Amino acid sequence: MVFRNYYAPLCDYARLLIKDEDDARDIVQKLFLQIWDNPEKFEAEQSLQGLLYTSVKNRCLNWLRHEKVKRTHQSDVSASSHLRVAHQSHTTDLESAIQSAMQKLSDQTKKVFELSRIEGLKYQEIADELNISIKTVEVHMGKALKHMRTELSDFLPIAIILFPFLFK
Amino acid sequence: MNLSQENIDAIIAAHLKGEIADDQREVLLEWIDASEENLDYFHQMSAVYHITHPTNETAKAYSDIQQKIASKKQSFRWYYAAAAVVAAIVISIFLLPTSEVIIASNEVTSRDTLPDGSMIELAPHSSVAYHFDESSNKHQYKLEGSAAFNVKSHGQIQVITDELTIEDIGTIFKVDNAESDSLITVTVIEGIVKCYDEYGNALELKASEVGIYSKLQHKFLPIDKTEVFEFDFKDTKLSEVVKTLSFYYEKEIEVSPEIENCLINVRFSNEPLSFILEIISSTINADLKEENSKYKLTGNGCN
Repeated sequence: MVFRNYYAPLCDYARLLIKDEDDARDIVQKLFLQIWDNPEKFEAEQSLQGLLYTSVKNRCLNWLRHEKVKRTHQSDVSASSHLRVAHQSHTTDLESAIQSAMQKLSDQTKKVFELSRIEGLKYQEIADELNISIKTVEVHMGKALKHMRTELSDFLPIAIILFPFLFK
Repeated sequence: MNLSQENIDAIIAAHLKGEIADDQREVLLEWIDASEENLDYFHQMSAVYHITHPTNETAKAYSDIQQKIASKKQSFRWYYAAAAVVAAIVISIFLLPTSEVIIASNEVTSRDTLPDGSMIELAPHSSVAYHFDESSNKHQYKLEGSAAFNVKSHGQIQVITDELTIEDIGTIFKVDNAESDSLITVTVIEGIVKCYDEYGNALELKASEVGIYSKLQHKFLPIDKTEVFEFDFKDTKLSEVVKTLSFYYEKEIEVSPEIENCLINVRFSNEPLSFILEIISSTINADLKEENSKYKLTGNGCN
């Protein structure tokens, strides 16, 4: 449950910090592995959410430092070398809650949200389809997510305290 | 920079879609760092995005981590394992009831009838040993690997895996227990089953429900039991596909020889048989008819 609730948001956070999707996932997976292996190291009675985000942030900062060293080293070794450019399950209840929340959105916001969620379109594609700017698409999506956050609060993780052997 | 809540929501939305600009990224990072509330807000927006835009990324990551943990534990505990094997052999000789392997599969799926009359579809590299327990009047099948069971002698069979016992109350169900996997998955297609382990954990599953048991944590994972049941055919001959479908749906399906070897690549989730067959027939341009309570697929070759 902890993994399901936190894995994707932590990856989003790591990706925001290091701008590399694969390494962001790797950092978060390694953190969960470490917690699984050594839960006693994470027994402090603090907010689980705070602990997970702080751990991810620290690991991302280390990653950035490491990348910086790597870049310096690579440029030292060869002036001509180029740096690498970084590049299952919904319940019926949840689905009906999403559908019902979508009905309360304004027509345009609902359209944007549907195109993103159901058609899987990128924001630029949605903008082209609806003949609006990409900024307007982002605003509609922001509104939709904010609305969903309230409407789907029962399905969202709550801040919990980390107890020993939570993952065992 | 003075930011309205609307600006922040839009920037978060851009990031979650993977389309954030560098200047927006800096703004968002600074905003998240500003307070615990902001971090919590970001977390919830991200969680909402993922439950409304589902992918199988989290499930895949979970499975990857399980496998990594399993392989780590194996490498640390090989010497314990050796001792355990010796102990297990001694125990099995003196304490466990005798059972013998009655069906084993090699590289391909095999189908057979069990001693109690039930049908079995045995996954590749799996085997079943049989023992009749007179005290409980149960047919006990010790399963190594994965298999699906279509039970005929209702209430009288037990499927025993390394960690889990599955007791049927009249049903069709499937047990996935690959040696390399740390999870046992039980999928019920029809009826009800009870699953339990030696640690006192038990789970009852009804039709269309799935239970996942972690062999590492010795407990059932807290998943949604109503996850869909899936068929995933990859380069599978049509003749094999219909055998599998006939097994699960208990319906006769006839295929004309011209299309028996057509390769099917398709995935279905909890769909009715008529729908699955319609999709298959349109994929290979075959005709589908239902006559005398059986389906007939005919065609002139593969498209």
